Amino acid sequence: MHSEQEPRIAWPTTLWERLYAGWFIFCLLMVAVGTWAVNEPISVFGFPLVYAWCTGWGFAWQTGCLIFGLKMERDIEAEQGE
Amino acid sequence: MESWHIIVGIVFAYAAFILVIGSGKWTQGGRIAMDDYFKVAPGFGFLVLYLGMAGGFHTAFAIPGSMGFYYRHGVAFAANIMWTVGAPLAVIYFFGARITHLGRKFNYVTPTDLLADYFGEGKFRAFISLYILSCCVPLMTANITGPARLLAGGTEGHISYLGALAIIGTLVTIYLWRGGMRGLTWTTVVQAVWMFGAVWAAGIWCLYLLGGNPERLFDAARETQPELLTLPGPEGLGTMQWWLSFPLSIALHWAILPRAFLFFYSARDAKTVRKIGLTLGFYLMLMYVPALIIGFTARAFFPDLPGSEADQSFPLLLAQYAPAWFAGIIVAGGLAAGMSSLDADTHANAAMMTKDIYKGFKPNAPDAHYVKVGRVFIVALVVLTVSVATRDWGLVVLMVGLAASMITQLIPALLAVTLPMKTQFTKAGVTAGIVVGLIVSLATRFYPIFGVDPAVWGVAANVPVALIVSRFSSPPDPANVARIRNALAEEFGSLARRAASQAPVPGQS
Repeated sequence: MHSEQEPRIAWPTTLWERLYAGWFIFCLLMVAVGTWAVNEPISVFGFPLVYAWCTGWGFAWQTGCLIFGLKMERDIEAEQGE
Repeated sequence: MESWHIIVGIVFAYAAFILVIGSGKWTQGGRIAMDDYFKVAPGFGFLVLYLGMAGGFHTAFAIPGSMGFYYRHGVAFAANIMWTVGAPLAVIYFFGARITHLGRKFNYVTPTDLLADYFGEGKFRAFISLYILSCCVPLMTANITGPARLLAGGTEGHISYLGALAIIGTLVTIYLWRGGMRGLTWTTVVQAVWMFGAVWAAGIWCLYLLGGNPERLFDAARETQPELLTLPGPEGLGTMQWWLSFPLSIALHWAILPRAFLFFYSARDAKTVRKIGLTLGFYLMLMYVPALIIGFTARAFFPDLPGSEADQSFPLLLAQYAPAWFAGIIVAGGLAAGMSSLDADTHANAAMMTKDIYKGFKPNAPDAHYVKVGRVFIVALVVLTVSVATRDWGLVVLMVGLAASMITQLIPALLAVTLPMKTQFTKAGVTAGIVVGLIVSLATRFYPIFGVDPAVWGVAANVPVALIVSRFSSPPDPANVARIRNALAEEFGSLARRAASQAPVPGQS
């Protein structure tokens, strides 16, 4: 069913795909693991540090992946001749 | 005029508006066919589907559950970033786009269509459909109970809980009956905008109550209960194990609920869904940003609500401090949050009951017959949901938790179809994996191990069992596998193929 000639469509192969995957994993780790390093009752403009940290990384995560994802879309469109 | 009159007036005006939006001319497709009633055959473009999915993915938990969570467990709810951002970027972007492409190419209507096309028809189709149906009824119940409570509470009991259930059930039935997937999506677009506005308006109003200074919230929490400001929170919920496994379980099941499949199938093309995957996190994340302000403000005003009463903290705040017109807008927002997923679940389940189960007994009827039957199933499901919602709420909560574990067990089967891999999963393999995963997740729900979410334990047991059984059982029909993989390669393989062709061949300089 699956031959060696078939493309590995689940694996990041282009630069932008690798950046997308790398940024996704980095930001996920910042929220999942990094939060425990800032788990202190400190105020950031009146908001708890844990909340500000997670929300801030959430925005960075979303924005970075959007930028890389749009680059991926541009590559796909060029490849499909749109 | 008493304040509850104003609240009822606003809620009824909102309900009338939703009825018009959900049953107008624009919800009629022009032909009576299953693939144009249970999904939208021509497909929605980016904006409508974006808001449709944004609203459809939020449940009654959005208002007032998320505020109650912050009230009760403090900053532990900041974990939502991992699913509000992670799920669209991973699950919708990669799997959703693949489901859309296959769904459009092979005209799938239900989630089971996708799995049965790859693994084979027969009892497997009925098994998967009944399995999914059994976990979605509790979700529907939760999504009618939340807004019904909010409506009853917001009108100071002048609309009873039963009355609220009847109103919501009737509304959903009318626009689903008439508009099908189109009616559902257009109403969800309105509901997504309304609930987003309501949550942010409530957050700003809470800041106004505090004199515009969020620092007061922080100080109040530090003085009265400093555990709110750090993990694991006052009740010790947000442990490291919980923090790592609970968001994973939500991210895994959230975007593959049956309602999500209908949205994926109703997209114009895979590109539309990829763009939604890249941007939906902004809406989902921003929806929960004001929840901390609201939850902490409610805590500052009503510090002593015990346990699950925390969910009542925001309605209580509204009832005692908000002007009636404002409370009406927020109550309508809560209605929007619950109805937007209740209708999508009802519609998806009616589609499965019609296409996957009823059609098995009466296979050659015209499409108009199946659409009629689907409408009857919608009524039956709403009646069932309302009936269950009048029963023991504790049981509903337990079943909602189980539903997440159950849906997550479909992951290996979905991976097998959408991600071509050397390892071949079989029908027997994924079935055994689902059954073992379900048993393990049930066992670990009642006997927790290391505080890890039961759904994650279920998947951990599911995958090896699916792999082992697949090794010793008949593979799916090679023709079906090749057809589906070729379809995926058409849309998703071009870049990978080019990269592979440009990669240096080992041994060549």
